[in-house]
Amino acid sequence: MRWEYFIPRVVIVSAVWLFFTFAFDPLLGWGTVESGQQMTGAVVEVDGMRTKFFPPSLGVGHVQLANQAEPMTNLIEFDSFRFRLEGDALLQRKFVIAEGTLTGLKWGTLRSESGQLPDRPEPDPTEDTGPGLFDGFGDTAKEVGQDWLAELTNRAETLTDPRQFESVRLAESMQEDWTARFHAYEERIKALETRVKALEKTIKNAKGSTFERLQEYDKARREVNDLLAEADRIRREVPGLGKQANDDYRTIDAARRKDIDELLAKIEGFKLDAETISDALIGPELRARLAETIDWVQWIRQKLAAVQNQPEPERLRGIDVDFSNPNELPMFLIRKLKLTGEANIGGELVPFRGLVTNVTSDPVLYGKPVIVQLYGKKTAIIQVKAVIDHTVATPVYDIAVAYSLPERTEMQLGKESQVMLTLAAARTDWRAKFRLTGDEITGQLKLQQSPVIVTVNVEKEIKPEIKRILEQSLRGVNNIEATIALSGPFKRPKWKVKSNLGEQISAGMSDVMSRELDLKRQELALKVDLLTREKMAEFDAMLNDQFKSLVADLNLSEQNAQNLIQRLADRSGLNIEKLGNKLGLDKKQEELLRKSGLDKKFDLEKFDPKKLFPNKKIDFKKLFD
Amino acid sequence: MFYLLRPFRFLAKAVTSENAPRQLAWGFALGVLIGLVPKGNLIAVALMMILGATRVNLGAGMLAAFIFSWVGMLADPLTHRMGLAILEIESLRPFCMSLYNLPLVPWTHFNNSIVLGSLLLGIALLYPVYRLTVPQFKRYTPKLEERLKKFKVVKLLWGTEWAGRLGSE
Repeated sequence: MRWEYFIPRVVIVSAVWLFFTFAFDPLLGWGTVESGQQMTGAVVEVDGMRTKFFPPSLGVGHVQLANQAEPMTNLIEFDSFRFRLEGDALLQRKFVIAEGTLTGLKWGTLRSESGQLPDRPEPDPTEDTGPGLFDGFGDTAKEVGQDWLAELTNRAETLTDPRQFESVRLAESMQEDWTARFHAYEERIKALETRVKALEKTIKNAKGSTFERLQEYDKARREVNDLLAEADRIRREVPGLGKQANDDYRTIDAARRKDIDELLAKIEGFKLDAETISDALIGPELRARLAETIDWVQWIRQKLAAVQNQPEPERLRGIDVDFSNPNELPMFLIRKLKLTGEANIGGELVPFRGLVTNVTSDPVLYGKPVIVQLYGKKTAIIQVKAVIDHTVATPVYDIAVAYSLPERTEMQLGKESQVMLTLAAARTDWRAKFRLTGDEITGQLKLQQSPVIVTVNVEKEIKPEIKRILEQSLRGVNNIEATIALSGPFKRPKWKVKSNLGEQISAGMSDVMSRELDLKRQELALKVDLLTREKMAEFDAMLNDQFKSLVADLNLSEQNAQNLIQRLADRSGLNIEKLGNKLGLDKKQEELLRKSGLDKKFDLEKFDPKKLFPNKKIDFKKLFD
Repeated sequence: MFYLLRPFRFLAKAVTSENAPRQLAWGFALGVLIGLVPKGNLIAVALMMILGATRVNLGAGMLAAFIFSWVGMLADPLTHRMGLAILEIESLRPFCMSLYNLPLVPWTHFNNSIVLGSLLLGIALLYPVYRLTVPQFKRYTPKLEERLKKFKVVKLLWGTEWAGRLGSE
């Protein structure tokens, strides 16, 4: 053999062997870390990687995937991952893991060093890193809680607040209206008096020649007639007020009767909304559990989407023409993956084991959904089954979680600042079942606890009756059954909380309130009656007083006006005898003058002495001197 | 140092060998083929194995492979069209499918237009390159040998006397 042929080839073969023996595993480890970091956006640590070609297999040591949002914690950590590739599939350039084993799987473990990548910016705490499923749940729950408590307080106050009665409000309002109305009449009468007084003054102080004074008196008499007409109008209007007052009496009385009926109906129909109470009390706890479950679904979805949307690995140049068999295996497939690990459930590390099947890069080609089954047992027992179906156009996630804790637990519901219920249960069971189709979620989470002892704590500011009512309502509660049902868009689902706690509180409170109200029914009816009658009596007295006063004032004003007319007549009337003497009239002519009414009234516009005495020359100037 | 220089010494030895021109030419032709074909597939590995397994000049082959790897990229448009034209022949499709579904064949990436095109181009150029390069090697090898022997580095590569003997046995 020629050495110059042999040695170079030995060198090449040796180099290849050296590469696969010493460099291939570290390179593969480096590639895994790089691609993992690209995917998670945080530090990925892989302690050791060991490949074997005959049979083709891979073993990965301790792996930690840091959490990008919380760099001091791990998203996932596991002790080892071993699998064997199927030889036949590998010859077809397919990576099919017949069975893999992943041990020591944990979530959310603490890290000794930050998992933040040096070239990445620090996570912004305000940034929405989570799925955002339950944004605003807290606020809504708070509102619901306040609504419920406000409702309860309102109902309790029903017993004591007289302002709720329409009749009382109506009587008060009418009293105000009538006061205003009488005030208006008083004003009008006052105006009459003022005008009468003004006229008196005018007459008293009338100056000038007799003729001028006569003119003044005549004007005054006409005004007095106006005043009398106004007084007459008021007199005619006032009896009409009595009719109006009677109508108002009847209206108030009708309102009184209605108030009593309504109050009695309210007592009968007193029932708080069970759903609202359930939501306020047990909703936050259910939602927290739900959010925890759904956050994981979201995380898995995101990571699956990231895997599916990964940029294609650097390929050969040119175009690949597909000659693959349509029924062949996908490029990557894990037929079966056995899991063991620990899950932090309610602050307790629960060891679990599980099985994941049908994980593939091409679910449509493979045609089977991914199935995840987990079983954990310590103090609590947890079972999870998830069917992730990407074989259809819109991916479907079916997730079922069951959790049982056969030991005493205490759960606090509600708000410390308002009403808080402490539930001490001997056994707790949670059952969750969801279906996520695309971005639509439906499902429910159920909580069952039995037997339970419920203790009520209320804030000092809240009325003691409420505590008493709640305690009485919850006296019969010995198990809890609560359900939160979800539906709608994944990020903003609608939810409905139902619980026997809410129903029991609602029913219990209705009973308690009904009993209390039954006792007070007559008392309340009497109270309403008394209150309304009292208001009506006040109204009646006010009407009578005002009416009398008004009529008296009116009479007085009218009397003054009449007197004034008399005085005017006295002043304006002519002394016929005096006039006769002045004019040299005989008795017959004087009688004629008297008959003309000149001594009673004197209308300058109509008076024509020439017509009265056509044959007599009268010196009018002399007459008015 | 000794081990590091060894391949180069063998190359130098091969270049200066009296009966090397044909081996050099075949090595060079194979190197052209290897250089044209994209790497990272079983065809490239197989060609490398052929280069290693046959009694052709490795140094010349590697040098040609290195040079034609760059030339191959320039030839991509041509090789792509050639490969695609063949891969898209409908009558060949059943054959291609059965071939592709044979064990190991998918690793060859023969279904890639450039891999197939460059392979065909390389095969087509194999003999012409050999024929063209044989006279060149015959003509220039002695002259090159004379010139190279003057350089200290060549003397160093030439190695010790025992290494020279080892190489000539």
